[in-house]
Amino acid sequence: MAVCPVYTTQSLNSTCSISTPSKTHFSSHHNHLVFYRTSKRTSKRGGSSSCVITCSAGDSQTVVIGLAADSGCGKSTFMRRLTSVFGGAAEPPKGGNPDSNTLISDMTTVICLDDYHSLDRTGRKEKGVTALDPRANDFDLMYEQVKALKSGIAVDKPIYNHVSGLLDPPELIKPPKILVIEGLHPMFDERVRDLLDFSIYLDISNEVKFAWKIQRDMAERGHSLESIKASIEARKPDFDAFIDPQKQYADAVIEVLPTQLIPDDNEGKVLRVRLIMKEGVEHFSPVYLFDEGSTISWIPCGRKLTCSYPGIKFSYGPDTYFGREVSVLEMDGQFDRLDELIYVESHLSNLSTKFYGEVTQQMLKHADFPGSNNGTGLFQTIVGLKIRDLYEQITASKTAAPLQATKA
Amino acid sequence: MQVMKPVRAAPDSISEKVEKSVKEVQEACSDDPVSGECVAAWDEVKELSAAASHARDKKKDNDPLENYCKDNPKTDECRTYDNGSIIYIMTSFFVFGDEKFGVVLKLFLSC
Repeated sequence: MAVCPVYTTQSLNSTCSISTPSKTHFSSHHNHLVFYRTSKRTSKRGGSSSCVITCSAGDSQTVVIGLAADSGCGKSTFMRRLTSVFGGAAEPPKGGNPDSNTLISDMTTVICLDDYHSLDRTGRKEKGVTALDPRANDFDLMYEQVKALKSGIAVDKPIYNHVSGLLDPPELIKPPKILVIEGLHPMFDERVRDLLDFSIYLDISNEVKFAWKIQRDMAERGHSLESIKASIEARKPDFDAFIDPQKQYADAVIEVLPTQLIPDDNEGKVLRVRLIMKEGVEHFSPVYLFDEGSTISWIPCGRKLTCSYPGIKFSYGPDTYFGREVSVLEMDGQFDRLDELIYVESHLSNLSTKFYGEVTQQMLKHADFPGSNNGTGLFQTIVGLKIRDLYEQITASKTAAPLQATKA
Repeated sequence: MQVMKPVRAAPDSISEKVEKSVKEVQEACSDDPVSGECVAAWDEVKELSAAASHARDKKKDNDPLENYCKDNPKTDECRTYDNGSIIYIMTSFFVFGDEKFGVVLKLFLSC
């Protein structure tokens, strides 16, 4: 889709010179259309006018989404669900560094912010800083490159190799329609924060983190229960100081907590997930249950729907989060059957789906992903649809604005 | 002509790295458990564990045929035919009026 800002020039004599604006950056997508019209009637305005229409596909159309997550870049389930909403599978760039963290699909490019580490693993060990510390990251480069991609300019982005712990030679990233920056510090730097059209923070509570890490890392040699616990504890001070405060800037926070339906559950299989949505965000209308703005508590299992233990419990209501007005939608429990999922979907409003059952369809498409049977998968899918809606609204408003300029 | 592609690190070496990093933590944290060195060592353990688990997942979904066909869709092993061409091929059999071929046609139409 092309955006065409229209420039009109007026000159006093009948011949016009058409000059191309020198400050624009030329990319391969730029096309210049020159429309020249002279009016014979030299009336009150006194002269001919000529129009230069510059059409540039992809220019300033890139929507930038920030995702703060501790789980590692680009391979997370959230990313796969998000890119799947737009269609197509996201894959690492073909023919490039096999340890690249970048994922590219038709509509989206996912960039891992670990690539902006200023210190590699040995450097961090020498200085005694973790990857969470801002001193280990080059925020200036991050800002410049995200700004460039947002304006339609391709960049050479460094690669942080997670296997070797070194900074590899850069790879070329072309500006996509949707750019997702995923990592530990998407909202840390104020300049980068201002470039984001939408931001999400994935907040996993310590108990759930511990339970997941046990499942994941116990199979690995060298790990024990104590070492896993110690590794989470050791990172906690840096995490609380640098990463956690980003929560307040996020437009949506997905909070993952242990369930309240099973007393003393420490397996982390049944989860209580809260979707905290900021009010008043442009192009984003929060999801609600039954009645927007009221407080609702809902257990769908009953006469129409039979659920197995521990069942499902929903709640919705307004709240304040770090001094801001938010709406919170919460789900505790898990889905066991398809009809539970469709039943729940039919009672939620403002989902930004294109057809009835789209959320269920997306969840089923990735039934093998972790979290497909609980609130994590559900809310990640819903956020994905919200982002699609946001993208369409932004794109529509950007094409509408220049059209108004031609009428004026 | 074969295109040489860079090879990914084998998962075994990552596992060894994880083991090594956990050992290094003992050294770094023996002096002072809250020092920068100790915390950085634990961060390294975390990073390597994450890399190891990603490598395990990647290994799990690696179907060699799928990987080959992604890059070489036109080779014989990877050709796929849409239903239209199957029907075209099969109708030529059906013209002979043999009941057997009619069944074959039905089978192909259903896929």
